[in-house]
Amino acid sequence: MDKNEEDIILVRKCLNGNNDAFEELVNKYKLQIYNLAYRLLGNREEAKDVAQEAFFRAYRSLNKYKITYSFFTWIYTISINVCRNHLKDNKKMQMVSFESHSSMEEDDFELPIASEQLTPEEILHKKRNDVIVQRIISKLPKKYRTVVVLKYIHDLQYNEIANIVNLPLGTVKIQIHRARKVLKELWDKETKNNF
Amino acid sequence: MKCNDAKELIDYYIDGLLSGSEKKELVSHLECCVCCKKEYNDLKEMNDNLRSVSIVSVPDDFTNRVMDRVNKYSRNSMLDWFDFIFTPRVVKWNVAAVFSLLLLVGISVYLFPKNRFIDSEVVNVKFQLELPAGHVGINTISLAGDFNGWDTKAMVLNPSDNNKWTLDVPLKKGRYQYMFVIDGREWMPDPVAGKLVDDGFGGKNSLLEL
Repeated sequence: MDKNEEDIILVRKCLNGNNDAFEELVNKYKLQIYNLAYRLLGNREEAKDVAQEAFFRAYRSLNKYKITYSFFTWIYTISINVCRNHLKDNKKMQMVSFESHSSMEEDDFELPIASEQLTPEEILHKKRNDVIVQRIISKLPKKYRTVVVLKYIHDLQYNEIANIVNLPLGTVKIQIHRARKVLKELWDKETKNNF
Repeated sequence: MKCNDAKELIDYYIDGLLSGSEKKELVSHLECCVCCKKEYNDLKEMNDNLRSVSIVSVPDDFTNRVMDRVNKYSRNSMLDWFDFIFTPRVVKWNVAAVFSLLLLVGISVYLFPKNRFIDSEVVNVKFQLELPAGHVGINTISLAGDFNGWDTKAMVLNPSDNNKWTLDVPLKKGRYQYMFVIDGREWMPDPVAGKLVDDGFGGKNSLLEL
């Protein structure tokens, strides 16, 4: 049974009134959705609220979920829409400012499992990299942010991104190609000063 | 291959989207052009750095908070009706009389559906799905739309000899969204629908305007 078939069975159970099945779906996707919201909003508190809202909206609209799409695609689409609405409501279209990152705590990020083997220099490098990546995302033009996060941070395939943002595959490829040029300029500028 | 052309193709190459002659040309260009090779290495390094960004851990109470809201919502949607029906309330007789009258009018309209006034608002719509020849092994095709609460079992189409599936549905004038559901699993828009509209969740519904 593939991942999506498992999800469809869980959705059916939810529709029959079994909320435990929905809990399984939340546990399965919360890390991805929370990180997606965090990258798009740049703030852990807001990311938490938005990710929870996205799951709640998914539950409320579960009878509209069509199995022609994977649940994974569907929950990403809902989450991105909730993030956009959140930004619109809060008139925070400029997204994160660097100031909000200067207060990053030591334990703000979960380092990969192999982190015990990293040297202090490597850990420092990683932390700097995290800060730079988030700062670059915040400086990207709005039209590129979502596709960049999906492509480079979440490592999704072009067709998955096209399904999530509901755009033709060709349009997504062109958007990412253009976004990469802007990304590279920002990257060069930031890393020149920081590495 | 010129450097400008090569620089345009490097990111497609990194993503594995190049094939055939373009890929060959780019690879041989990268082998001999120091400048483009550097561009390629820089871009690859940036991609690796972006992908290696740390994962932010989810707050401990995340699932519990979502489920609290979910459970409250599902309980409330059941309890709302229960409360509405069984909550004792002071009856104002004049208000009750108006409601009773409205109820009576409603029942009489329901009992006399041949009333011309109502009939003129109803249109008999023939839904038809013609599958290509050789499309066999389908057991049921049903019609789900906002007119039946997207129920995949309520309206089942009738098959005919030439792979056509049809169903007559009387509908009041208005705008309706609908989809065909094949064997209760596969959702399919009407290929001959006048319009398709976004369903708000990344897909398209067929649109019927009467």
